[in-house]
Amino acid sequence: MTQAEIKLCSLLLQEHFGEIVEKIGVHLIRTGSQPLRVIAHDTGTSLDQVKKALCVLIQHNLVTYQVHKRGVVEYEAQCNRVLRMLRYPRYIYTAKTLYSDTGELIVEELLLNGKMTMSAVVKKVADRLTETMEDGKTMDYAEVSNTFVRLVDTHFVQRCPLVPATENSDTGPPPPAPTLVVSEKDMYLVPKLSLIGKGKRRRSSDEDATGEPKAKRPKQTTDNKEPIPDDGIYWQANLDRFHQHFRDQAIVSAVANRMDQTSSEIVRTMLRMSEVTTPSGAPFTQPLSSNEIFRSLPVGYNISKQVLDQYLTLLADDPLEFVGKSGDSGGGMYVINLHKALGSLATATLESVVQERFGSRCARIFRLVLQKKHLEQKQVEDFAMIPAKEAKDMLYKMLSENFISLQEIPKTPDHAPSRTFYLYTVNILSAARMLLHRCYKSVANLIERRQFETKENKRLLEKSQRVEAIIASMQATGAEEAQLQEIEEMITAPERQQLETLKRNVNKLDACEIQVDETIFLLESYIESTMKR
Amino acid sequence: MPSPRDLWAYHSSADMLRGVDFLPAEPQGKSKNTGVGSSSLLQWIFPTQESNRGLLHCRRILYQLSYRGSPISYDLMLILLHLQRLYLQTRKVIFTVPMAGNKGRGRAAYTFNIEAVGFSRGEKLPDVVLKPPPLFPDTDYKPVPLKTGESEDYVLALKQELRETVKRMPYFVETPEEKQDIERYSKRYMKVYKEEWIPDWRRLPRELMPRKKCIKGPKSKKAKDTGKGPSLTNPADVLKKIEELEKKGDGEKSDEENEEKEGSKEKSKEGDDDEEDDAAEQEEYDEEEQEEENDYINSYFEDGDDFGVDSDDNMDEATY
Repeated sequence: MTQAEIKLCSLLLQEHFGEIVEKIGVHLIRTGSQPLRVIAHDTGTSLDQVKKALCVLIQHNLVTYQVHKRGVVEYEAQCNRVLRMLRYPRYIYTAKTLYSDTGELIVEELLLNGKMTMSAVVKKVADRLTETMEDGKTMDYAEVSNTFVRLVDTHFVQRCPLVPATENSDTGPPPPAPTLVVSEKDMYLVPKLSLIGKGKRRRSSDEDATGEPKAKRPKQTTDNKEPIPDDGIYWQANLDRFHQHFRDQAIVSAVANRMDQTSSEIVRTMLRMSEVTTPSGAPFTQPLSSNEIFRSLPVGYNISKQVLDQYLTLLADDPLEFVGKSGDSGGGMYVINLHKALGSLATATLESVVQERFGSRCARIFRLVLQKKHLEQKQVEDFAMIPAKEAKDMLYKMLSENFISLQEIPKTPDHAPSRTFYLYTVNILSAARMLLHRCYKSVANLIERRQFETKENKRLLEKSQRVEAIIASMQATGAEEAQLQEIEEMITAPERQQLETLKRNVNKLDACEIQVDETIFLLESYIESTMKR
Repeated sequence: MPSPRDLWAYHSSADMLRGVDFLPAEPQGKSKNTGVGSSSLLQWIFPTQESNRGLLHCRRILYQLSYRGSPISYDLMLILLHLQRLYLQTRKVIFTVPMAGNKGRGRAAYTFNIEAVGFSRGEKLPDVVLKPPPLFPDTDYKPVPLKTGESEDYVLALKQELRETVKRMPYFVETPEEKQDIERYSKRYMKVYKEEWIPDWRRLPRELMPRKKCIKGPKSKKAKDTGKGPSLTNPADVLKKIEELEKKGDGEKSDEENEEKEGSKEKSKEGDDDEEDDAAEQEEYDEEEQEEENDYINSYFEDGDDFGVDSDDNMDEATY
């Protein structure tokens, strides 16, 4: 855990859960697993607050606990999970693109609440959707739960580890903490629920409530009397599956950029076919025969089997090796080399960073070293066809920024510099790590800057909010145009200008955060897939 | 007085030296007197004032040369350099790249041909950097503009909305605010409504359960049976008792961690005490605790709260 990561975790926790939770969370990240009393003592926070903070963190799957010998419960923060909070908007957006608004709201609720029961999610989402609909229309529970089931079927939502059924034996006291069990086969099993009903609007007045008592009555009775059918079965967003989706998208768009739209569509089909069958960490997809691929191509795509075979051969021959041929049976078996693909994407990211930071001539040297693996300084100068002096300058600049590394190969065992080869190489893994670290740092900087900007203009923001509220309420009561204008003028022109600038800045900073996170995702998945090998 | 020729000779020898071993360029003013230059040369060649006959002899030669202001010949320099190498080898001085740290050992030298790294003869080496890099360094290249598009805009809006929503969730634990002398009217409207959140205690370690919010279940029944000892009817007595228990509570808790049986008994007892408090008393109890917490927290978190309140006045000013 680097300092930059801890800093970022701290900022994220603070934005999501407030100061107290941040304090406890960061303490846990710094120190590793600790029991409750020690946390309270070390952070100087009252026990009640620590308890509350831990509850929040556990609810959001950011902290896990473990019972040790002698019944001490130790809490451990999941730092990587904390960093995922940065990606929440992207998860939600993905759910929207795949499963429209209902999917979006389901994932949003799950992320906001950490974990929820299915019935709670369905109820909440139906209510929220109803609220946005026109008057008189309501969202059916069944529809929402259908979308939920689809999300579970595609593994975007999964069950949380279960508390095993209580053995209710009288022997001895209950354990200090429940042990959570993951049952692999039930992971994506939706309990049979008969969720009947419609989303409700939040009532503005009591009159409204009495107006439709029929819908309300049966609801309440079910709530109170019957035990909730899926009590204890909690669901969470499966972030790994989302990551798999992001990765697939990146691969597809890379192929589209490299070759053409049709080949990207073929790769997309292959990826979709092996989506659920391939575990998220696997280096290859399951082998697919070209016949299978042909059958699964989207209906609108009218390409003949021959053309498909040509495309597949072309893809397999590509030096980037996104697609590999694993056999000849069944008209040729093809796999997608996920590990290689991630490697290529990470390398491309590194190259473009070098290009944007140091210019195209540096990028040339970088690519050269990347291609030739090991080069002496003289060779670099010659091959890159850049004057020796400049080439040296660039090489050293990249060396000092750790994009390029230096390998010593001594001729004699005494490592005398005069009898040593100095070879320049690019260690992609370490360069990716360095870049990832810098990304974390820049996101933290961005968040800090944004917080600073908002803090500087806090008074102005509050004022504009208040004015907006007044205008809205006056419009509701039907005020005259002149009155509204008068209120609007409470914010002076320079103030308005200031607000504009602030908004532009904050938008830009936020957009930066999101886009840096895309780079973070690429680098992280590359590092992860390399470490697994 | 050194003649112009002498000066040139000195320079060339120094250059030569630099070509081999790197002597940082002498300041311009000093080179007017070759004597000074040579003596510093001497210093450099033999870093310590150690008594060594052969070396002493060389020193004398050099010194005489410098005294007379005559140039050090190329041959002599070579001899001297050779001697220096021998000298250093016997003393097992490790050659290092010159750093700020080893000024005391005279000028350290490079063991490799400096030209291989790209510095020609007599070229000045870059200075040693002693300060941290600047906070906002100039960039050579302008950053690429951000991606824009419909989806980017949507994600951006989503992010900003999420940030606001998160503040209204029950999971956002706010720091208890400090009590203000005057209650602001506007404060009442700034409060955000939050839903209650009751965690599923079955999934959490038992110790996380707050004591005052004991679940009223089968436990309370058991508690009623056991804990009817002292009859506390007077509210004051009850408060006292609570305070006592609280003090005791700390001790008991640590025991609890070791001895499970004890702990469970204690728990039921505590549950019972909570049971006896009626609502009003509990409120009082809460408040007291809150205040205690407040004292501590206030010293730490003087955030922008009062800023927001003051803005009332400011706003008036700005309007008119």
